[in-house]
Amino acid sequence: MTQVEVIEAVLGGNDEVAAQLRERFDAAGVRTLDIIGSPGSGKTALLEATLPALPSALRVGVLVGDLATRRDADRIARVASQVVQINTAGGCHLEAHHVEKGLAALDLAALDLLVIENVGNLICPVGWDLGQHAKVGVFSVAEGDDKPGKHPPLVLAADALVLTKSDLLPYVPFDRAFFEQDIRQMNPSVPILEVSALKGDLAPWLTWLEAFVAG
Amino acid sequence: MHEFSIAEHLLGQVRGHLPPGGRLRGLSLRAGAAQAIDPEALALAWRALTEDQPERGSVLALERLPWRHACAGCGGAWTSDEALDACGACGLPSRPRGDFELTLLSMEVETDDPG
Ligand SMILES: Nc1nc2c(ncn2[C@@H]2O[C@H](COP(=O)(O)OP(=O)(O)OP(=O)(O)O)[C@@H](O)[C@H]2O)c(=O)[nH]1
Ligand SMILES: [Mg+2]
Ligand SMILES: [Zn+2]
Ligand SMILES: [Zn+2]
Repeated sequence: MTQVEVIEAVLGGNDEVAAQLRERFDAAGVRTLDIIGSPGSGKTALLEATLPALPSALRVGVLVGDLATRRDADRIARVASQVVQINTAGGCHLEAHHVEKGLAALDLAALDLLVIENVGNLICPVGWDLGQHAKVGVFSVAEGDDKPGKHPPLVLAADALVLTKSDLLPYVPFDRAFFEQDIRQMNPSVPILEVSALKGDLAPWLTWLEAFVAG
Repeated sequence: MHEFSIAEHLLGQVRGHLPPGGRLRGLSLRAGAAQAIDPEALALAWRALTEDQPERGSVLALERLPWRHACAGCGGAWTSDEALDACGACGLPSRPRGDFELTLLSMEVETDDPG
């Protein structure tokens, strides 16, 4: 029996593709977001409400990852100039090669912002680099205030955290201070952006997004 | 569930490093605290993936690194399986440190080579 020393990143292959994607985004001047949140947290609804509220000169494309169906892409197609649905056929997260394949159907030169809606999952997508410039975690009031504490990797990796469905705050038990305290213990500086896609209350998120696009 | 995708990446990686004619008997990995990997799920995924492959029966050993904590109050340092932890000495909540590392460290390889 021989011991072969390796010492090499297991996801190095994914990271290489992601680095190439990032170069393509940079060359085309496209800012790219990876949006991560549990199933039903409100990722698609957030995009449906956000895109019409952005300056009309801003050209936005969306890649939507799902286990199956193209329902989310159909919803977003009403508000985005370019949309591509990526079905992972059971895969619980997007990988860089999924995005690379999705880009074949997008014209990067005609975009300023590319939003990737990851497969609904709070855990699995976090460790995969997609070539994005920022990761946004989505939590919703309906899921409960304890979710950040139970999902440290997303809280640590996120460049911004959205708390959506704020219109439900009067109706469900949700301790806003507790929610924030867990986040602050892990990530003292991440912006926490409270929104309601249903009501169109998006101000802090739109401000963050416009600054993000400006670079 | 992403343990299955990780196992697939791992199999490709292992094959790239396997000496000609070598049979894989074991592999050892290290995962950072922030790389939320369930060791049992990964071992199970590895077994399922290699069941009808030459790597069948190889044993996967995964070392999960704990979260690192340092107290902003008293300067005490410790490690924990919990990301949200508090200092045992002064009770202050502590900010967890851990990374997304996932590294293939080494492989145990059997060769027919008689020496
Ligand atoms: N009350 C309220 N409901 C919302 C809001 N945003 C989304 N919803 C509802 O939440 C449900 C899920 O919304 P989606 O946008 O499909 O969630 P998603 O995160 O894209 O879900 P997956 O893509 O399946 O992971 C739908 O019934 C929405 O109508 C909101 O701001 N307020
Ligand atoms: Mg969706
Ligand atoms: Zn998974
Ligand atoms: Zn202390």
